[in-house]
This record gives sequence, C-alpha cells and structure tokens, in this order.
Amino acid sequence: MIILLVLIFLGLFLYEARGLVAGEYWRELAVFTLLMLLGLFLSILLASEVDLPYVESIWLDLYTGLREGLVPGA
Amino acid sequence: MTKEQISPRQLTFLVMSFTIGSWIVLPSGLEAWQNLWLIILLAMGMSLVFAYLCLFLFRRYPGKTLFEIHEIVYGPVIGRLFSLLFMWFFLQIGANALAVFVTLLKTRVFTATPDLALVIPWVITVVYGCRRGLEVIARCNEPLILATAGLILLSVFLVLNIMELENLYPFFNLPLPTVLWNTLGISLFPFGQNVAILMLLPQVNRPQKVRTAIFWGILAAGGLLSLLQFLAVSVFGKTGELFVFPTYEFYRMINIGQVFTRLELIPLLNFLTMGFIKIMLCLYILAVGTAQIFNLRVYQPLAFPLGVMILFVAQQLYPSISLHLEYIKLAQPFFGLFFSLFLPLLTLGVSFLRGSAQREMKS
Repeated sequence: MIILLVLIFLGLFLYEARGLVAGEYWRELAVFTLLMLLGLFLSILLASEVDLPYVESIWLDLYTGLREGLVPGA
Repeated sequence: MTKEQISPRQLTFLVMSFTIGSWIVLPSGLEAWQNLWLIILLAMGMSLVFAYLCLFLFRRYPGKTLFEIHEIVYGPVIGRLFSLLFMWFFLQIGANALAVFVTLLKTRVFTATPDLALVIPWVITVVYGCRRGLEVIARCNEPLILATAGLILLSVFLVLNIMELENLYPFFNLPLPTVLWNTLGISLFPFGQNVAILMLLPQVNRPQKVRTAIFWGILAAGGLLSLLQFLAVSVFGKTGELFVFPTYEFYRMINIGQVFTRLELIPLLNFLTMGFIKIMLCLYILAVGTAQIFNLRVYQPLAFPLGVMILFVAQQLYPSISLHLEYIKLAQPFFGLFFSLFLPLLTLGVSFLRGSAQREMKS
C-alpha cells in the first residue's frame, strides 16, 4: 500500500513538475514539493493506521480545560 | 495569477451553496428542535451583522482578499500568521463537510463500503473542479443550487398529506439562554462560515453589487433551511430530535398513494452536490490562499496536495458522530466566534487605528 502511494505521488509530482520547470516557476515548484511531501507523509500515516488524535477531541479537551480554568467546578 | 471573474448572481448562488452545505443534512442546535426553524430566522438576522462587518473590511480595502488585507493591516509577518490561522479554519470547514457526508453515506446507504472508497473519488472530483477555477465552480453551482432550492420548495407539496401543524406547537417554550445560545451557534455555523467568501470578493466583476449579492444569498439560504426545518418538525413533531440526520429521515416519510415512497435517495444525491460545492470552494480558497501567502503566480498545482490534506483531516476529524455532535454543541460556537467575529473585528479595529495613526503622521 505504501509503495503504491509513493508511486502515485511520484507520478503526480513528475506530471506537475514538468510544467512548472518548463515555465520556470521555481518558487511554485518549491511550495508544491513541500506540500506533496507533507501530503505523502500524511497519506502514509493514514495507510499505516497509526493511532493519531482526533481534531475535534483536541478542541473539546481545550474547551473543557478552559472552562475548568475559568469556571472551576462547572 | 489569472484573473477569474464571477457575476454578483453567481456570488449569491455560491453563498447559498456554501451556507446550505453540510448543515442541510446534519443541523446544529437540535436541543431546540421544535423551534429550530424560528431560530434559523433569528440567526440569519444576526449573521447579516457579521456579514456586514466583513463587507466593511472589504469596502475599506477594495479589490483585496482577506489574506492581502491581513498583510496590509498587520505587516507581512504577523499578517501571514493570521492568514495561516484562517487556512486552518478553511481546512476544517472543508474536512467537516466531507466527513459529515461520508458519515451519512456510510451509516445510511453504503454501510459495508470502506471510508476511503467513498472519500478518494470525492477528493479527486473536488481537486479537478478546483483546478478548473472559480468561474467553472460558479457555473457548475448554478443548476445545482437551483435544483436544491426547487427540491426544497417541491417538498412542501410532497409532505402535505403527512404534516400536522400541531406538531409545531408550542413556540419558544425554551429558556432564553438556550434560544440565545442556539441562535449564536447557528449564526456562526453555517452562516458565519461565509467569512471564507471574503477570499472571493475581488473576483466579482461588479464590486458595487457585492453587498446586495451576499445579502440575498444569506437570506435565500436561511429561508430554504428554515422552510426545510419547518416541514421536518411539522412531520415528526418532537420525535424528530432523536434523529442524527433528520432531513434524510424526513424524506423517507414521504408516501403519496403508496406509489411515491422511499424517495430519500433523490434529495440525498441533491444535497451531496451542495457538499461538493462547499468542499470545492474550500479547496479553491486554500489553494489561492497558499499562493498568496507564498507570493506564487499559479495555484493549480497546489490543489492535489491540499486535497490530500482535506482528506486526512476529514479522516481524523472525529471518531464517532456522538463526539461530533458534542463538539458542535459545546466547542463549535467558540471556534466559530473566534474566526467569524473576533478576528475580522480585530483586523477592522487595527486597520482603523493604523489608518488614524498614519493620518496623524501625515498631518
């Protein structure tokens, strides 16, 4: 699965990068590469079923913590 | 970046779709269920105040997006930090819409299908739409929002034989704090999310019509959502608050002469298109926003990696729908208040202070 993901990302990167290099969009290429690496990393995390915290759980914990701090015993 | 242009009418339709978005299938404020249709109208009024606040910002900096305004008001470093905060907000709005629709499909229609099999084709379509640009999104949206509005209006006739007006009583039998809290909650989600539209306003071909376009967009979306809730309450009565997806269940109840039954898939497909438009707009705004933060000339290459991020956040948004409902009830209003009211208000305040300071320095 991870190899397949890497191949898909590599294929898309080469397809897009060709146009960017031809048009001399170097800054765009740098940001695109960075985002693609981040996207690949996140996809690998998903594919590997790594146990990650949930976004809304984090917000809820933050809300509960703030409420406890501001209104103790609420 | 290429300058794309949309008309004020297309902006009105985009505001409608963005507001209706995922709220239509998973409404917030279910604790005020029987009065929700009235609360939507109150929230719509409150959201117009938020919208005018944002428009005031746009009028002060005509032709600038929200991120460009941040850079002018706060300077390049702090301005970009504020823009990054908004990037997270837009990412979460898009991921939230995606996650809600996937949960709906997964729990009601494709119960044995893996999540990713639903999410990946969705993201591919959204990335394709985003790469085509705002004009294409706006043009696609026109027939889709008209179909959605038409369907909601048609629903009035479809449920005439099963609705009971007594189900709507009593009006406002809730404590005032509950009414106010839910009004605030709905004015922030879904209406307050329209702060994202500030990223699109410079692309409207007649800027003088922007205010009217947004006004009618919010009014029409609020009217449609309120009408749908009115019908749902008149059909279900108090029991409606037990459903997680009341709109979906409401269409299941339609029965005309034992011939037109189990129609829920038609509105479901129709409402999915609103989700598509909302996620597509979020992705477009994220891509254009990233391009503005990094001073890029094109945004299209960024659509795919940002689409992957929406997919990732949607997968990691909530473990169960009950936690999501708790989040909507408790944390969402504060989250929305920060981005839809506090930050635009702060930007407006700082812009006034800096403006008056600059004038004093000049004099």
